[in-house]
Amino acid sequence: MRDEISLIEACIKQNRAAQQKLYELFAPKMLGVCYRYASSREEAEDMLQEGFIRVFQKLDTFRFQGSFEGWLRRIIVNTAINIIRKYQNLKYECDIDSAEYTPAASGDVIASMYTREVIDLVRSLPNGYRTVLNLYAIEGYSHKEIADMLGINESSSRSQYTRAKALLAKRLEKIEAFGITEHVKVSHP
Amino acid sequence: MSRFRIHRPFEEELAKKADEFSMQPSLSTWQGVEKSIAKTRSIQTFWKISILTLSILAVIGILFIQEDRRTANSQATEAGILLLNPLADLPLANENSQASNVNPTKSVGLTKKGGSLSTLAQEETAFSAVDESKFGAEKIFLKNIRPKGLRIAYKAEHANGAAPIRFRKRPAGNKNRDAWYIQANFVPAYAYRNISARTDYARPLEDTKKQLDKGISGFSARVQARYHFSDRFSLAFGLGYTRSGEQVGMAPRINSSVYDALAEQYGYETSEMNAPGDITYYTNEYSYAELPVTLYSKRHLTPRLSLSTGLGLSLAYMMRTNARCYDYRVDHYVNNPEFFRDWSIGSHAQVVLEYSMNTRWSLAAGPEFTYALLSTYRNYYTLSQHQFSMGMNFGVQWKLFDVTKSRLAD
Repeated sequence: MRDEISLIEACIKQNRAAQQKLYELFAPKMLGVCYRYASSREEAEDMLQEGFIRVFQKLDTFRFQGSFEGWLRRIIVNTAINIIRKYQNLKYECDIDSAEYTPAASGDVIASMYTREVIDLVRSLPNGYRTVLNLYAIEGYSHKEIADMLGINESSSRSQYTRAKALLAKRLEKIEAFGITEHVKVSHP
Repeated sequence: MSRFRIHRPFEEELAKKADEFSMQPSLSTWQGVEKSIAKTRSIQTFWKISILTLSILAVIGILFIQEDRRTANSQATEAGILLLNPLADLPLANENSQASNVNPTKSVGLTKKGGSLSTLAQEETAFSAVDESKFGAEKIFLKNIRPKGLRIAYKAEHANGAAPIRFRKRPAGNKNRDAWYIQANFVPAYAYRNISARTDYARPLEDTKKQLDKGISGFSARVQARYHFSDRFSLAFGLGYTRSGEQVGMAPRINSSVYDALAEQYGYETSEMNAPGDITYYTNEYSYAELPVTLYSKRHLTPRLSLSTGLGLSLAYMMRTNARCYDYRVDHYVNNPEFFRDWSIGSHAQVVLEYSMNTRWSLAAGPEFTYALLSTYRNYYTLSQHQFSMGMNFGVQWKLFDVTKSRLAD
């Protein structure tokens, strides 16, 4: 903890070595975050780059209260959202049938899957679903916060999340039945 | 009400898996971050230097005002009486009377005991109106004497009784010693550069560029404080902005399809390509923020007209550029800011005619030449490029203080 504070202080003083060390410490995990929001690895790296530039620009506003990783993550996520809003269409691109039968999304199946498989499953969702699912289920934002961030209605956020979860549930059911490769189609970096 | 059953474990498991996930970013991502924050560091450094320079100027200015007041007041108090015969029958002017109403044949005394700067300025008017050699000590021609100055003189004369008659003139020369000026200059200029190859393989490129490239119009603008440490020599320093550049004829040596493949590898854009042999003209522009320092030598031609020669250096920071230069790795003209030096040192020489409109304001005009002492490109680039410009300097100067130490000195 003390080391982390020293490192941040050195970064605020524009110490180049410290800035690189801070980047190396958090970049892999933050790229994982960006990758969940991005359409491709290249886009994820762009998000990461923009995000870290903002982190270094705003570092002097960090109050040393609470988790630095949490603070950093919020900036990275906000940057990712800004890029998505700029370049992507957040409307969901596929409809789910009016669901006479809708399976429940199971945490048990998720737990039994490899991490990479889960990430690819999330990334296989349409942009709008994926973004709301990431923000609500993984980052822990409320629907009101998500609505503010994405510039949509709170009810839209709720419905997109519900549909995202339903779509995931359907796919998880098929995965349980047939295995992952046939149902999760995303391009690997 | 939701159709779906909410399973808490779903969100928890999803968040847990997501939290475990990480990926190693490519090296270019850090390079992009580093480049951007290095730019921020440079800009911060520039502003720090600028603010420091302006603060030093402000402190010097304030100290000078205080010192000037103290000196002037002190000298005036000690000297006491400045002028001529008693004001026996001089009508005491009222606030509404005009200077032209004063009888020109009357003698008048002006005195000052610890007065303010504005009163001293009034006295200055009186001094400038006196032509002792023409009228002699007994008959002093006066004009433009303000009523307040006359009243002060009259009271002082009576308070001191028969004052010693003592006329003081400025010593010859040193009219500007210790004077501070603020000057603003604008220099429209023809901008171009010298270019030379650092390696043998770049010589054909050097030749091509010398044939195809041309100069463009640019400009400089400066605001400087100028301190005269003698009547002849002065030093100016402040802030400046320069826009320069050149027109380049881009003649690639490979087909765009070949380039496109290489461009992707090096992160360049694939647009605006042309085939070998085709020449596309493009204007490179460079914007610099500068901290110039100039030493002037001034020679009076007439009382109002003088000729100043200035030589100086400037620390320049490249704020932005759109320049394209040849990259041998892709055999094409590209926009790569990494090739350009952020900080540079420039030199400038100027000869200006200065015309004094009054005791405070003067105009200046004359030719100016600038030359960059460091290459525009970083040292590892295959070409060395030194920018220069030739222009016409137009300036205006404002003297900060009208009363100098020398004014009341013996």
